[in-house]
Amino acid sequence: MNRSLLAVAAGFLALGLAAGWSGRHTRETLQQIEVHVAQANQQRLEIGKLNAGFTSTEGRPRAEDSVVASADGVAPWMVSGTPSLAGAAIGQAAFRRVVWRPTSWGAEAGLEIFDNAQTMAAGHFDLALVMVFGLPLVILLAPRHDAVLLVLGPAVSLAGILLTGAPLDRPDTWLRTAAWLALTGLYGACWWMVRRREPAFWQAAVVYVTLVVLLPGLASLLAELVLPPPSRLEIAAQKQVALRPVMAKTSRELAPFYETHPEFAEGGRTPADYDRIRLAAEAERQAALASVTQPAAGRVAFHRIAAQLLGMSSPAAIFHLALLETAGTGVSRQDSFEQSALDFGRKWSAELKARIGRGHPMRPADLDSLPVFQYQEQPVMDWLISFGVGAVSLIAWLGVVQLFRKKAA
Amino acid sequence: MILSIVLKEWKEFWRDRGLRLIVLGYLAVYAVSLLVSAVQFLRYEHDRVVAEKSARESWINQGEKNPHAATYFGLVTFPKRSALSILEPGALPYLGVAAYLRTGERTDFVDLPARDRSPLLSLVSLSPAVCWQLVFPFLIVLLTYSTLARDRETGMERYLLAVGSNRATLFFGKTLGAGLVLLVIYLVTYGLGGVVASVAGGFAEEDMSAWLLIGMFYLLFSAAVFFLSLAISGLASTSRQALVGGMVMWLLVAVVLPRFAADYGRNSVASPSALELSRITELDMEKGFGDRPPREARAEETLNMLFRELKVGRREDITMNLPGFEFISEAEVEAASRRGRLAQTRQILAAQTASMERGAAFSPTTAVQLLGSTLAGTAAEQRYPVTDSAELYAHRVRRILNRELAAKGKELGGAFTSNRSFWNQIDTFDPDLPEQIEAATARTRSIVTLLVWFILALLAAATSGLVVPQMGERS
Repeated sequence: MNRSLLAVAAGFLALGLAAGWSGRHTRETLQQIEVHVAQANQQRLEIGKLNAGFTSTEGRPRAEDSVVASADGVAPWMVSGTPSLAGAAIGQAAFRRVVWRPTSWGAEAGLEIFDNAQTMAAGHFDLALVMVFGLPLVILLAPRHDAVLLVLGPAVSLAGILLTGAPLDRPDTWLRTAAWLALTGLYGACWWMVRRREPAFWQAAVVYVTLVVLLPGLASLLAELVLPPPSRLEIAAQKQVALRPVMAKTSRELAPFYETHPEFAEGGRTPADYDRIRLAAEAERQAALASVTQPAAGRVAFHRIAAQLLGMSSPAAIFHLALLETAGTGVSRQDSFEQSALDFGRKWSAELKARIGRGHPMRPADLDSLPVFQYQEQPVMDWLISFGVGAVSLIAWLGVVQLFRKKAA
Repeated sequence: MILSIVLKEWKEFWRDRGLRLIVLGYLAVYAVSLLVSAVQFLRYEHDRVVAEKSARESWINQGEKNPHAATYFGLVTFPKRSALSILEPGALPYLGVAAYLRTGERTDFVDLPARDRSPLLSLVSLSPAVCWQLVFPFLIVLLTYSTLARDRETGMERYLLAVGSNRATLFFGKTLGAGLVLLVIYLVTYGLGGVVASVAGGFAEEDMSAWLLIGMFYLLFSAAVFFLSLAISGLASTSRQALVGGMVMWLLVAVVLPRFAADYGRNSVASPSALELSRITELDMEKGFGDRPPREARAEETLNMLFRELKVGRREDITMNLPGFEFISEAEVEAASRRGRLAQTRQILAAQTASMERGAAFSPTTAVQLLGSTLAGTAAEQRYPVTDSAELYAHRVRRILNRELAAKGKELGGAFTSNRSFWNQIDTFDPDLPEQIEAATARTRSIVTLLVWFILALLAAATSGLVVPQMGERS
């Protein structure tokens, strides 16, 4: 290996390690959210238990006399676990990770994670970025198109991933890492094939910027123009319109409780009445909201598919999307978490309904025996499919470059 | 002599079909990004007006109900965008577009547009500003890498010096020639951007000055990249070396360093989590905070206060609706807790942005990003005043509704209802556009960073073009 090639490899490795180091910090920040969730859930349960099981000395009802109000007070926050390779590809993890909570009818998205929008807009410096932007540049502009360049990407990736503090005791980490290395190898091979066409240096630079910057950017823009995601403003207004008749009705029924206050029950009503009416009201409310949110979710999916299809024009876009899914910071992992949150919500709701039938408020022991949410890692097949699509698309790209090379010859 | 060289460079550039195609390609990409950005702005403004009208109608036509129940139905508000957001969307994809002003919900703008977008957005999100930050610097490298290196490589420099030219004339002539071409390209895109933004968005009071300042800062940034590229061209012994050096410089300046600065800012101070804020607020409400007693004691205190005020001794003798009164009092406590905790959160976020700005000392792109987004009114911090006024408005509305219940609901209790004429008395919330020029004056560190980078790059270019070849005798 000549000295120039060594210098290039060393520079690229330094960039990969810097990304790994930076990713380690970001990963730790993401893990903090899980700590906050655990603390909040513990606090809610303790307060709930302190308030449960008492009866008012003045004979008036208390909020805790209602099973629904009592359970709402201790309903645990739910959040997806930090993906094993989150430090290598931050992706959507920084802003997609919404905290959910179970309710009397199921589960709903609760808090959005606070983050600094200014730093998010500038983007993350992670290993995925180094690979997508840096690897092609190294391969195209290195002093020789040596086969050693083909192993540079996977080697630097492995070093960077180890530095991010990925949990090595989990088989999931190794499986994802293997997939990451395979994708990196294929992406590197695509650029190696471009390099073997021996374009002029400035042509190589133009090809690079076109494939890495312009085509992915244009794919997003065109998807935005042709099949835009639904307007969130429109959805917010539509939600109000959909809720109007439902809430007009349920507010009348819940009037003796001032909408959400069983402790102020009037006209001979009891917290048990509140529970019954509240459950029915929530079911109606959610049905009304679903009529707005479900079509919107469909349009979001169409928009993403359109962007992904248009992104097939660039190996960088294919590689980037596949890396995010492989790292667990793409869209599918959060979707999988939301599905498990909904499943848990149904379980929670069934448990509440059973307790309402028992005819007594929640006692500390009842609160202790409520279902506990355990985050389940996304099924392997979920992301393996995305990985497979990415790998096959990159192989197809290899074929296309080879075809052009033969024609040129 | 210099003029001849400038003209020669100018003509040579436009005669080169490859370069012409590259410039046309850049202009096409810029035009597409501008078009999509303008379409997005127009869609947003249209949707905002329609959604505001619809939300207001929903409020007025919500039917007869208890005024406290109306606080759960609530109002929705949407922030305005400045016309310059077409050019510089800044942090907008990561800032929410709707605030649900309801009891039990935090008043904050939620529903981030980025959440519905393709993950490709995190790779490259082409906007006119990103074209200036990412694509134009590449164009600068591509058009200037050979400016000084090629003549040296081919021996032309030695020939020209032998026939009487001097190095300074050659350097200034070539620099001005290449610079003129790039300046024209920049001015075309900048002017086109201004025209489209003013036509689509209609420039408000501050927009014209802000647009001029944005143009000046991006020009300064582009000039710094141009001189850095020239410096590399002057130092390299071959065009190939110059291009490699230029591409590495581009990768660092346009891609790596801005993201590194952002991560540095984010990691310098741990991000506050909304969950933590919510947890602390819940704890505040339950156990009290500052001079506010715990929940049970507060209820007791409220009751005693009413007994004293109304000079009665029993609940039944209170002449107003007691729950209504408690709702007012608890809302005050909750608002006070949230205000205090939110102020702490903002301080942390501001510290992160300040760290990012410090990190911008190594990244001129970060400096220009911060300046550009602030001038366009799309920086994250510029959303705070709108959120605060929405919070104040929501609090005021809740107080009006709960007061109505407290004052008139004694007899009917929860069955007391208000109707359309009362809902109509609640005024609409009209969010302000963000301050632009004044906010940008706080970004002195970014301005200094840009100036320092410009001066250093200029010195580097002059040194490599005028001094280094003579010292090294490489020609």
